[in-house]
Parts: sequence; structure tokens; C-alpha cells
Amino acid sequence: MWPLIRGTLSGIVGYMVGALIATLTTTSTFSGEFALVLGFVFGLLGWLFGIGMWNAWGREWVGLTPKTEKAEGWRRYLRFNTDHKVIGAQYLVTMLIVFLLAGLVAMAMRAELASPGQNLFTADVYNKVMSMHGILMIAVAVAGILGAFGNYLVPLMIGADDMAFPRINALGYWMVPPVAIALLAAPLVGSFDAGWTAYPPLSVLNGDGQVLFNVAVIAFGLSSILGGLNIVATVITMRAPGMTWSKLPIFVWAAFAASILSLTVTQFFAASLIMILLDRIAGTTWFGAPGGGTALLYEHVFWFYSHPAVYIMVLPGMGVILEIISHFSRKPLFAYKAVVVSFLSIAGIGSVVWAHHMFTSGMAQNLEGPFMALTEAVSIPTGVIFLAAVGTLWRGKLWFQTPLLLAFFWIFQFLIGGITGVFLADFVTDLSLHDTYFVVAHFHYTIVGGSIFALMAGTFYWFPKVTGRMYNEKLGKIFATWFFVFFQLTFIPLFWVGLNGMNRRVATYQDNLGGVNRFASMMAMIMGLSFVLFVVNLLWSAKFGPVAPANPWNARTLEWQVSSPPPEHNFPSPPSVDGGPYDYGVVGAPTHLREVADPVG
Amino acid sequence: MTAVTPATGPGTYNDRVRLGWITAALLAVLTLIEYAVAINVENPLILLLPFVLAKGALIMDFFMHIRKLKTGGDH
Amino acid sequence: MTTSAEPIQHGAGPSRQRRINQLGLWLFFASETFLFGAFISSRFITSQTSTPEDLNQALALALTIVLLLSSISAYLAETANAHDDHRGFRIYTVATITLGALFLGGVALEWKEALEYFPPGTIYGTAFFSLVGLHAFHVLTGLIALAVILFLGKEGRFGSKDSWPVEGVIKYWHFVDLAWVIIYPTLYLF
Ligand code: HEM
Ligand SMILES: [Cu+2]
Repeated sequence: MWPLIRGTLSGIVGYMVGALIATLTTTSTFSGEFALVLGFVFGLLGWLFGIGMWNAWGREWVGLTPKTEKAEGWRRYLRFNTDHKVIGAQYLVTMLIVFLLAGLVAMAMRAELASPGQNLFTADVYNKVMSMHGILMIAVAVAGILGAFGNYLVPLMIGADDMAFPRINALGYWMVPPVAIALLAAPLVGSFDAGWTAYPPLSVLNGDGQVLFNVAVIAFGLSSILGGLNIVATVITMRAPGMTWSKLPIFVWAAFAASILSLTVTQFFAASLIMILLDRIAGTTWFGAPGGGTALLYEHVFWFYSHPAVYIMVLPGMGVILEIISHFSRKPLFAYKAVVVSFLSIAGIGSVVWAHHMFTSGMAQNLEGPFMALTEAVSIPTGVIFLAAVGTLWRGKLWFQTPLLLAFFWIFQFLIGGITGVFLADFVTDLSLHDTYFVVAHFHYTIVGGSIFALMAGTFYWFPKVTGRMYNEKLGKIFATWFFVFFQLTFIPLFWVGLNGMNRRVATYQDNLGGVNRFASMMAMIMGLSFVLFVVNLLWSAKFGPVAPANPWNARTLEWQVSSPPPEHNFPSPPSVDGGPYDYGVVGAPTHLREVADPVG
Repeated sequence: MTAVTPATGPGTYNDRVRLGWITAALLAVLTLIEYAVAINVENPLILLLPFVLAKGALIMDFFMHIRKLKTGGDH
Repeated sequence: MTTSAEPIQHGAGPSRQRRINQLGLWLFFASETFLFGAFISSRFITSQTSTPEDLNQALALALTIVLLLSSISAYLAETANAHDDHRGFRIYTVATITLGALFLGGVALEWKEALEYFPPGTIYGTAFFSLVGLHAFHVLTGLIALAVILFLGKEGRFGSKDSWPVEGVIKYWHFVDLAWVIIYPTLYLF
């Protein structure tokens, strides 16, 4: 616990120092906007150095030898630990907690929306609640799979002993708690009510909480950039002998493509939020019309990140699902090469479609056609992913465990999400669909369906590897089905109310939509309850579940060829790779792992 | 001593120093011409782009050793 | 970037670690390019290529030359270090830090004038202060990094046997210069 306490203390001191500097050098008050910014920056640095960056790293910069603080058992997780498996587990737990929290916030929103008028919240408070839900969930979708499974599995799957930059990896994770705290603390200084998209002019004019939102999200972006950098460098340089590009497990490819995106475009989110801070604090006029600026600029810069961000969320999900489908249908992955090309082209084309979020913004009209066409072009590689999933399942020997069940649900949901996206990408229909619940339903189908369901599937699939114990299969299946059924019952009605003109991000709506909304709210609550099962299953099984063998799924990929949980440096001796990762049932195919120095089983 | 070329590139110390100064001189000349063009021409955008590209290429190649990315810097 | 199909062999030699570090640094540059790119393209979107009459062109040219000089001295420091010329390394690193500090001083001077003629509340001033500020912040971090390697290398600790820390910092310094190569015409010349 000591590192946490040390980090907290030095974080508080850092905050005080930063805020004090701001107070002394400018006209800002101690709780003013500039003090919040400097306080956060110094507080973040204080926290990072306190938690262990100083000992593990900083000492080197002043000529001292770095100290590593060893710890055993659960204490490993509460300190600056550079083991990628520890970091992956830290991400998984953190993101699941944030997810459950943001889910509770969503329940509060559905309670308000259960009837047309204003009941639980004032309109203003509703917007703050909605913004909190949005940004927390976006964070989970961006860093859930990539942070947890990307860190845990990429080195294992490519036969490496760790990431390319283990300390940067730990740094990236430990930036997350202060981000969460700053977002959750924003209500103390007026909250933020401009949605997760933080459009100006509102985000330039609203309460001080917006400043905390901005600095926190910039820091989160930095963490996600560092994570992406690490995965890209790891995949390029750390593969075991024989692990050629064409033998990479498909999840590694997906994480690689998503990481290229988070490495690069995330800077645009940072830039757009920095511009807001400059407008608020330094008196610039990027978005202020009186000075000659334009709020339209924000939308361009913001969506240049935030559209590709949806692929940062969903590409790793695709990787997890294809991984599971191949292992559980005991068949080689269908069209491996085409899938790889599709991942890369989704990342590529996906970077030039951002303005489909801006059809009603007043941007140049001659851009609408091209952006519509490019957006719809992304459907082609996306379709290839579906074909690969279905082609692998086709005539497979399906082994219906919870992960495969969730993979089936994933296919259904992501299909609905993708198809409804086409209506939104068509600027003619989008004119009436934009900013309605149709959009809300669309992106819940894509993000919950495409990213969160994959996060759940991956959690079950790799649970034995991470914890060394089996989860309860029956509870897992009940949870999966429960979540799936009530997810449909919640969100299909929302397409309908959207088509009927219900606007998103408003606490009230037309009287005649009350019944359907009440239904959706009830279903949402029941869906939320399903997570009790999820949590109970995982917590109970981690402690009391039957001990898992090294390879309970009889899978070929490298992570299953070492003990559960894997030893400290992953492989007893440096591994090398022979056959492909998915050659199930291929006569005469060599094993994926060429030599096991110390076979486990 | 084994014949390992230092990470900055092949050639003797003096060769390397000379190469640096030549690069810097080229950059200076390019900058001055760039400036002169900009001051004397209306809307010089298109004319200036080659200067930016040339300067960028010089810096990346001779100062930042981008080619070393392929070989790793030694051997 | 490696293009060969066969991955790098296992075994943690210094040369392997150096390749990894080098790649990581270039990836970081790629990322930073997007940050600068966002601001540079925003400058063109909001104020196209317009520049105010009162821009101090002489000062800007002088700043550009100072940064260029710091680049060559950084290059010389790196080269000296790679050839185990420890004295040269120290001298040129000090020179680089001095020139960098001079650059920041020049920016401060420029800002004092700019606050009068085109404050942040004007559309050009918005781009000007944001971009120059962003760049100056990078110069500042570069100066800190240079100070660290100067301090650590005072007893000839680096040299050809452990040259990566020096190379890494100097590459970063050149990257900051490279950013200026684009920012300079963007704000003053186009
Ligand atoms: C074939 C695929 C897709 C198409 C054609 C598509 C198209 C669109 C369009 C045009 C919009 C803007 C609607 C509007 O605001 O009027 C939109 C919104 C959105 N989409 Fe998609 N989409 C697709 C897939 C995805 C995926 C895979 C994700 C995430 C994993 C996603 C997440 C979102 C989000 C978050 C929004 C709402 C952003 C906001 O305004 O807050 N979409 N989509
Ligand atoms: Cu989009």
C-alpha cells in the first residue's frame, strides 16, 4: 500500500504547488481555471513520481541507480510494476470498475427518461449526468480491450518476454487513476455539461468543471498514445524467431492496427481540447466568432480523432472475436490475409471519413458527397470481417462455451450497428436522423455490441490464463444471454423513438413517446442487473473456482502453451514458432510453438 | 579496436564534422533564399514549399539519421 | 521500419535495444507530427495565410538562424560523443543549451511586441501565440533534456559505448528544429 499512499501524498502536494504557482503568477484564484490546469499537471507528475516512477526511472536522470521495489501477491498490482501481465490486469480491473460506475450513471439517466417530463433531475443536471456517462464509457471502450488484453496478450502471443518499453507501459497505466479522479471530481467545481464531444461555444462558456474534463482527457489521450506506441514497437521488434507477419495471431494484428490509430490521431483530440483551454484561459479566439474564429473548426479537429477512435474501440474487439471463433470452432481462421488487409484499410479509410458527423453543421456542402462515399467504402472491409467470422464458423465443430456464445451475439449486434450506420452516413437521411436517439441506438449497437461484448468475451476466454482458475460456465452463459436479450429490448425501441423525432441529450421529450421510453428504461434496469451475475461469477471464481490447466481450450496460440498464470518472464526459455496459429484439423500441420523447453500441462 | 562505425555514420571524426557543417550551410542558404522569395513575392506559398521540403529532408537525413532506422545504427 | 519477414532475433544485445529505442523515438515523432499538424492546419482554416503588417520579420529570421545554429552545435555534440571526444561533447552541449535559451529569450521579446500589435484575441494572434507557444514548450523540454545529459555526461559516462541517451536527446532537439522549419513559413512567410 505504501506506494499508493506515497503517490497520493505527493500528488496532493503537486496539486497545491501547481495551483499556488498559478495563483501567484496570474490573476487566477486558487480554485480558478488556470489553477485547475496547473494543479492537475503538477499533481499528475507528483502522483506518478510518488507511485514509483521516481524510483524506477527518475533516479536515472540524476545519475542514481534506479531501485525496483519487489512485491508479492496482490501487492504487485498496487505499485509501479513494469510486468506487462500485471499492467494488463490492472487495466482490466480498472476499466471494469469504471464501466460499472458509468453503467450506474446510465441507470440514473434512464430513470429520468422513463417519463416525458422533468422528474429526477433539472435539465441542467441531466446534461451533466449524461456528459459524465458519455466520457467514462468512451474511455472504457478506448482503453478496455487495448489496455487490458493488448498489454496482457500481445507479448505472450508473439513470444516476447515483455513489451518494448515496460516503464512507459507502467507510466501509461498509472496516468489513468488521476484521470478518473479528475473527471469524477469535476462536480465539485461546477461539472461539465457539454457532452463527451465538448463542442464549443458551450464548452468555452460553461462551468469550471469543463477545464478538469479537458485536462483529464488530454492526459488520458497521452496515456493512450504511449500505449499505442508501445504495442506498435513491440509487434515490430519483439517477435520470437519464426513469428513472421503472416503467422501473427489475428488479435495481435487488430491491436497493431488500432495502436497505429491511437498513436497518431489521438493528438487531434488533445489539440482540440487544448484550443478550448486556450480560448478559455489565454484569451485566444479559435472558436469565438467575434474575434474571427469558428466553432466549425472544433468539429473538424475533434472528429478527425473521434471517428477513427471508434475503430480504436472496435478493431481490438474484432480481433478478440475472430480469435475466439477460430479456437472454438476448431477450424483455421477463414481468409486470414483478407482480414489483415481489412484491418489496415479500416484504419486507413476510417481516418478520412470524419465529416460524416458534420452533415448538419453547415460545413461546405460539396464535401458531403465525398464523405458519404468514403464512409460507405468502410463497409467493404467491415463486411470482410463478417465473412471471415461466418466462414470460420461454417461447418466448424462448435464448442459452445461462454466466449463463443458472446461471439455469436457480437456478430448479430455489430451487424445491426453497421447497417444503421449506413443510414446515418447517407447525408440525405442523416438530415433528419442526426442528433436523435437513432444515433444513440446506432452507436450503442456498435460500441456496446462491438467493443464491450468483445471485452466480456475476452474476459471469459482469458480468465483461466490470468487467474489460474476456471469461471463458472453456467453462470457465464446465463449472464451472456441475459445481457444480450435485455440489450436488444433496451436499444431496439430507441431506434424507433429516434425515428419519431426524440432528440438526444435532452432530459425531456414528446409526450407520445412516453410508453416506449418507459419500456426501454425498465429493460435497461434489468440489463444493468445482469452485471451482478458477471461480477459475482468472476470474483467467486477467481478465489474458489476449479484450478485451470495451462490450456483449457486446447488452443494453439502461444499464451496457452505456458502455465496459467504464466511465469514471470512468460516463457521458461526463449520460444520459437513453427506452424500457423490456427491450423486446427490441418493434417500434418506443425505446432505453432516449435519447442517447449519445459512442457507444462 | 574492432571496426565498428559509430552510430552517427561512417567516416572519420573530421569527415563527420565537415558533413555537419556542409549541411548547416546548405540549410542557412536555403533559409535565406526562402526569406528573400517570401519578402519579394505576393502569395509565395507554392514557391516556398520546395524549400520546406528540402530543409526537412536535409535535417531528417543528415541530422536525425533517419536511414539508421533500418539498420539499427551500428554495424 | 523493419520490412524483413524474419523478426529480429532474440537475445538482448545493446544493438537490439538500440533499434527498439530508435523505433520508439521515431514513433513518438510521428505522433507529435500530428499534434503540430493539427495546429498548423487550424491556422490555415481560420486565417489562411494572412499575416499582420506589424510582424517583426527581422526578429523571426534571427530566431530561425539561432535555432539552426543550435542544430549544428547539437550535431557536433553528438558526433563528439560518438567519437569519445568528451570535451567536445560538453562544449557543444553547453553551446546548444545557450543557443536554445537565446531562442526562448527572443520569443519572449517577440511576444512582448506581439501582445501590442496582434494580441491573442485576434485571429492571427490566436494562431501565432498557440503555435509559437507550443513550439517554445517543446524547446523548453528539449533544454531540460540537454541539461540532463550534460549533467550525466560530465565524467565522460556516455561516449561511443553508451551513446544512445545522447543521440536520443539530440534527435529530439533536431525534431523540434524540424517543426520550426514548417512553423516559420506557416506563420511568417506564406
Ligand atoms: C459501417 C459502419 C459505420 C457507419 C457507416 C457509421 C456511420 C455513422 C454516422 C454517419 C454517424 C453520425 C450520425 C449523426 O450524428 O448524425 C455515426 C455516429 C456514431 N457512430 Fe457510427 N458508423 C459506423 C460504425 C461505427 C462503429 C464501428 C462505431 C464504434 C465502435 C461507431 C460509433 C459511432 C458513434 C460513437 C457515433 C456518435 C457520435 C456522437 O455524435 O456522439 N460507428 N456513425
Ligand atoms: Cu464516425
